[in-house]
Amino acid sequence: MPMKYDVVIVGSGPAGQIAAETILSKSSMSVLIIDANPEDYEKPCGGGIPNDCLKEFPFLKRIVRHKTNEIVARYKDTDRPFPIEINMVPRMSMRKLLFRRLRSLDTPDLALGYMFNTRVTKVKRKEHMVILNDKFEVEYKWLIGADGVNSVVGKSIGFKIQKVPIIVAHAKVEPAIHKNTRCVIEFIEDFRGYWWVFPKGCHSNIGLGGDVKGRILKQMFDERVKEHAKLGPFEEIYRSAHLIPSAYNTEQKPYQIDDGHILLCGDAASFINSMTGEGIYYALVGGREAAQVILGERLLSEYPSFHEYLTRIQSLKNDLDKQSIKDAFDRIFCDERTSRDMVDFLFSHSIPKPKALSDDEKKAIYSKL
Amino acid sequence: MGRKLTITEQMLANESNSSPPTPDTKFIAWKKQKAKEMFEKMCIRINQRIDVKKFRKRYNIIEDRTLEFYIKGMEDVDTGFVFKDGRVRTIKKIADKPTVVFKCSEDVFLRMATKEITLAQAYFWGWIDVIGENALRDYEIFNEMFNEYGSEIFE
Repeated sequence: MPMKYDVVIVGSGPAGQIAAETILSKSSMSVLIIDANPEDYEKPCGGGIPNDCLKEFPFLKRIVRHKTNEIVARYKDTDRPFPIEINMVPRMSMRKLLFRRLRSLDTPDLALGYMFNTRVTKVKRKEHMVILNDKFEVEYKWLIGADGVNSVVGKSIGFKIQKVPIIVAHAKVEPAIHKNTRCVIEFIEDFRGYWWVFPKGCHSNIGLGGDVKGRILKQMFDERVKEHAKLGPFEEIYRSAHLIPSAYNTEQKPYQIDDGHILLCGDAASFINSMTGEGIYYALVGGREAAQVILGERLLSEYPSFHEYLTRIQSLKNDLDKQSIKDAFDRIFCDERTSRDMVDFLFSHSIPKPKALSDDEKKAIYSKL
Repeated sequence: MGRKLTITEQMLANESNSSPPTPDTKFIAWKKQKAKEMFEKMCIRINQRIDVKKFRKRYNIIEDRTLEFYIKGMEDVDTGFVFKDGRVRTIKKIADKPTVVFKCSEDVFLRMATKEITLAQAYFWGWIDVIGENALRDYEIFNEMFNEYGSEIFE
């Protein structure tokens, strides 16, 4: 007999965890979380979250280890600083915090199950069933796929994801060289991606991600690190590589309801700002909204709420991709006001709705013209 | 021989020939006249205050550019601009293919005119359609124009 759960969540990253928390805190549904990785798995990423994310999820404030107040966009010798606060959060601390919050909801009446180091090998949509490690069957009413870019759940509904490799390292660096108050994002000629340095207080998170093969990215990363080490004391203490989505899938819906009751979120749904690479905010909001759909609090047509925003970002990215990096940089950053508007937009997470002016308002404006 | 009528005047004359003016048609004609005046004043001010030659150099604009605002409901207002020989002027109709056309609603245009939003914001939010060569550097020209004009009127 297969195990039965109301909701099976594949993947225990931020999207999966927040989805589970939302469902468990508002209903008596049973939830099973399955993850191919161990509980203490740390996903490599920049670990920078914007203020909007803290507003939506204030409990994250307690794990902010460091704050920067400026992002510098760099191309060759040109630096463009933007006053944007970024909160540095260790991914492991976030993972532990989200698990603590989940476990705090667990009572004898509450059915919450975890299965780590367990791989979903198949999804049988029509039977509403997942197969674990090619052996065990688990039946679900709802299935949430939060299992990353290589999502098995996503594949089962034919969801396509464009991916790029990233390499992330933690390094002890000379604080005087790497100002502790600013994040640097550096664009490289003929490379669709960027190199970043995010200061985290006691160390820096450095990384490189972009549209090349992993082997070439590693070579580029090694060269960059060598250049960096020339600037002063530098000690790499950790390095890891990973795939992330490179584009928001504007064509396909991140769900299928008819014969599967399946919702995707996080990287599995390609919820990413394709210009900045920011994904944590969308993972958290997307996870919460997927749960809201299951709870009947949100219409499926309104999932995800940031669809219009990410679609717009993707459209801007597609326009920029037609130009060389130099042209793109010149065009965006030639003018301070325009580039500031763009950076503000890239971190705004939403598009304001145009408010229609009344005839009286129009009259008042035209009278002054 | 009388003076040649402007497009707006022709339009007004046509309107008055075809149907008696109503409060709506009067309001529309008045709005168009005000918008036309605004664009003309914007050009005068920017020519007085900004050296377009230097401006072009600053933003690496090599060629002369023809930029057009296409405001829905105001198609017959002179909303084209030519940047040529270091001067800006409005033009009634763009004969050749303009370098770029910014298509927007009247509401969006007024929000830009009052400096509530910038052209760049309107573009990033998808509130305007950009047809042609979308060089973000052009936006600065319009920002300057709206700023020069808007600063005096709305601040």
